[in-house]
Amino acid sequence: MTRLSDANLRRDLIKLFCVIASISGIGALFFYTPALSTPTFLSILFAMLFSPLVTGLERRGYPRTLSIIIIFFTIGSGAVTTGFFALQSGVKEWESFREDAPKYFKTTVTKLGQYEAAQKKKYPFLQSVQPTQTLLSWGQDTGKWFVSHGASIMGDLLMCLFLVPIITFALLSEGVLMRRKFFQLIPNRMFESVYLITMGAASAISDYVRAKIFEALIVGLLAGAGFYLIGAPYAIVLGIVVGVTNIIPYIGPVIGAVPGLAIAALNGSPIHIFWNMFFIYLIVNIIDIAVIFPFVVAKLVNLHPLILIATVAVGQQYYGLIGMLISVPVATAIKVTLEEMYRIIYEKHGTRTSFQETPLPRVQDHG
Amino acid sequence: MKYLTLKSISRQADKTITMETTEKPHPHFMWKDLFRPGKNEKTDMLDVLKDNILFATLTRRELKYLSSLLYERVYQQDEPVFKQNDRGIGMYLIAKGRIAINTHNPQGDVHVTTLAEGNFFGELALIDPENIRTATAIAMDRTALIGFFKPDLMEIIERKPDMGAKILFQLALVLGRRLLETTEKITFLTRTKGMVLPHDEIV
Repeated sequence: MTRLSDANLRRDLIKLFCVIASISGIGALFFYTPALSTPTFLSILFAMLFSPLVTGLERRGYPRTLSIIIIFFTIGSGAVTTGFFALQSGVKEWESFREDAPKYFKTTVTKLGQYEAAQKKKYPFLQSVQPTQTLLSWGQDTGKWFVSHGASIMGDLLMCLFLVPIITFALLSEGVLMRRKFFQLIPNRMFESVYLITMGAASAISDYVRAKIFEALIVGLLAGAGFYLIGAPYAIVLGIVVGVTNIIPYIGPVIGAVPGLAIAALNGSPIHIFWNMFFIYLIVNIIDIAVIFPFVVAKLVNLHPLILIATVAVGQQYYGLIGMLISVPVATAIKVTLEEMYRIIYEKHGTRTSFQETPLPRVQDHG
Repeated sequence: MKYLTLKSISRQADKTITMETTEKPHPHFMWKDLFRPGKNEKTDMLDVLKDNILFATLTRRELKYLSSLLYERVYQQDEPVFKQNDRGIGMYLIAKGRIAINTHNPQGDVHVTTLAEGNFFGELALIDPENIRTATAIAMDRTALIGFFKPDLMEIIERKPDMGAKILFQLALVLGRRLLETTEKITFLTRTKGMVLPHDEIV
């Protein structure tokens, strides 16, 4: 008996070591190969988004592969049609914004320089502070970075365009098989616990991602429509910026408001446009905080606000914008994992001694 | 839809266990998990599922779909599948081998029953929100089990509601039958021991 359990333990430990080594190896490969990790990350995101649609078609009796093809075809053709017709103005706006961006930057630097000179004249102790020079250097460095990395950025984009649909298709059609293969590698003694934790964490992440993207879509649409109605410049582009930055908790709405308000202040628009845009940002965020977030996202992310802010800060510190975007789902997954582990350990020591402890509703005797 | 009678359920549940194992235990290692098992190792999952009361009303196509969601696990002799008071996530079907069901109480360990090929156990975890195992399951021989867990059942209900309804109906049938058997046993015990049943507690 002892020999057998020793043999099982040795086998389980070797299996566990192999699993951890494989996961670490794959993790390291992804970490050091952005050309692979970025399309994979995007594909996981798309697979999470499309999964309910595929399930919806399957419920109507379509086979899974056909359901995926239908979704791909519909979304692909929809994207192409939208790109050709509805988004033409958006593209024009983007082109115009791209051309005008250096002008705005120059105006900002000039105005900041004048303000800095005036303040330094007034308060000589500010001589050592060089905000204009810092901004100028940052602008020059960013410009140089784009010029030197332009080709590789285009290459990455093309790679993503090619790889993302393929990986997304594979994840949607073979996801269950991949999951099974992974669980087959887990030693028996920890199989149920790992299954419970993995499924809980995966469900928490996909629910969060779906809810957050839904929230970003609504906020982006509301902001874009508002800007369009008041005749603000670059309404569609700024709506998209508001939607995308909204994914970042707490500081996202502030980051999203900066470009719009800066453009309104710097491009010589009447002052009422600036204030109207400011109120639109305010109203959209109030609607988000009061209606969309509590009903769509809050139930899924049960993290303390301080932990959320710390999570976003840590994400930004190590992985920049992408880190800010993925920090909350990762924190949610860690929280779910810890909760499940606590439950597994805690409930191991609890015993169900009697069914009287959980009273069942009484059924009326008709007999 | 084909429904099974209580008698047939009872027959399946009361299957006698007189298996003699001649299989030698041998190390089960990773490549058997990753790659296709050999002829001797391979279990025809569809046949096992088809013969099980829970999936007896499913069509061949539905069984094939179901088999893509299930997990095949191999346990060595004396290896526990789960222990009493563990959190449960679902049920196991015995494809090969035998399983001992034991309970532990202050008086010591009690052997409740031995289950053989075709039997299943732990099905309460599919519906019980508390998910606490009420007994310990241990492999008596080298045993192949097929795991069917609550998230997979929920996925079936979401993706193929007709199929989910069939499984749930059969599950209700099994649980109802077990409740009936338990009630009969309690009645028998109270009669033989001359105890008075607290009638108000039994509805």
